[in-house]
This record gives sequence, C-alpha cells and structure tokens, in this order.
Amino acid sequence: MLSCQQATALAAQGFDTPLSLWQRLQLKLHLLVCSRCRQFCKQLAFVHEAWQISAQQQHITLSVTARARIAARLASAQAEQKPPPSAKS
Amino acid sequence: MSSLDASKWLADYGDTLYRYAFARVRSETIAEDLVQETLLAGLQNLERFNQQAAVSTWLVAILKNKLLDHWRKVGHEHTFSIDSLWDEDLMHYQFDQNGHWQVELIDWGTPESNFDQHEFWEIFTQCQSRLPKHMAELLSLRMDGVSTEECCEILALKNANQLWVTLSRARMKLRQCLDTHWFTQAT
Repeated sequence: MLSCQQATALAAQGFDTPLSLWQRLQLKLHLLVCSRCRQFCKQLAFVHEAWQISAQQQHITLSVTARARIAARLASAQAEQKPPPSAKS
Repeated sequence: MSSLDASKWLADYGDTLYRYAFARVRSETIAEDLVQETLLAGLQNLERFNQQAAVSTWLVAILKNKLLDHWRKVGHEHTFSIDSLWDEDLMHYQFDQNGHWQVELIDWGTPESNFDQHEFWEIFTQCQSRLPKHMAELLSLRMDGVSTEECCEILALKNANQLWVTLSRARMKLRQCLDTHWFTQAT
C-alpha cells in the first residue's frame, strides 16, 4: 500500500506523464481508503484548471507607450522594406 | 496585401498577442518585445503567409516560436540543480515519518465559486510569481503542449525525470501557496 506521501507524488506526476497501469491501480486503491489524499487530488486539479484559465485572462492590454513604440518600429521596418517612391517612376 | 497591414495587425491583434505573451513570461517588457518581434517577423515573412489561415492564428504561431526562442535563451541561463529544487519545508512538514498526512486539508469548494472572485486571481497571480522562474516557465510550456524532449532542450534539463520532478513540485508549491494565502485566509 502506498503511503500518502507516495500517493500525492504519483497524483501530481499523473498530470504531466501517463502513469503505468500498476501505478494507476496503486493510486486508485489508496484514494479509495484515504479521504485526505482524495481532497489533495481535487486541489491539484483545481490548481491545474486555474493555471490554464490564468493564461487566457482578458483584462491585460498593451500600454499606450508600448503600442506607440511598436507602431513606430513597424513603420520604420515597412519603410525600409518598400522601395523608395522615386524608384517606381 | 496593403502596406498598412502591420499597423492594422497591431491594432487588431496587439492585445491578443500581448496577453498570450504576458501570461507566459510574466514581464511587461519582455512581452512587449515579443509582440514587436512577432509583428516584425510577420512583416518580413508576408509572402509565406497562407491566405487560407486566419491572420491571428498565423501571428500566434509566430509568437509561439518567438517564445520558444526566449525560453531557450533564458533556460540556459538557469543553473538547474536538483538539490536547489527540493524544498524541505514544502513537503516534509505535511507528512510524518511514515509518509502519512499530519495536517488536515481544507475543503476548497468548487473551482467556479473561487474563479468568479477577482481577489482569487490576485492571490493566484502572486502565487505564480512566487514560483521559482524555471518552474513557472516549465509549467507554461507544458500547458501549451510543448513536448517533454523540447522542454528539456529549451530549459537545459538533464533528463525527463528531472522535468517530471520539477513539474510536480511546481504544482505542489502552487497548491500550498493557494491553501495558505487564499483558502486559509478566507475561512
């Protein structure tokens, strides 16, 4: 039987790499009888979900100065790319 | 395509790109630089742009590559040592000698009941920024679906095992931080 410390380590690992059949079985067995580890697993899933959501948060925007700086840089890059107007004629 | 495209991209997708970058690098300066580099690269590679694809998808793909370059650069600056990753205080106090819990776990409630609160995200962001840099980077890369091999290469990790260990600790640390600074405070 896994100890709680081993079970929590396996549970965390399971988010990043597939566990072997034996590891999954051991973990399942442990969770059946251990309410604290069940709680812990729920909390890990919570953290995982929160991280994913935090990567898509909507309220962050480019500052006005950064926007202006980037716009200026793009304009000069575009000017370099384009042949000068006199070359066309 | 008209020559105005790049400034239109900035107006239309600047914030999307910035958000994407900021959520991953957690630095305004670096995120801004990445947006600029992305748009410049877009401009230089316009002829390679597949008209069938959406501009935003195309630009995000460029940004992803820029991000990988960024991680590659900073990843090799970190000195990874398995000893320095190990936080004695983090896991050990929670278990007794036999590996059994010696603390009670708080019921966190449903994700939804927390995610709706603005204050939760403030604490969450603080907890994220408290993570050692390499842990936060690695979690971000993995959440974006970057493969094990690529993560190891980018962050100069020795092997996959070190990667799993680092990821597990990052998850544990975040859990612990939320538990202490959000859930314990809230009750």
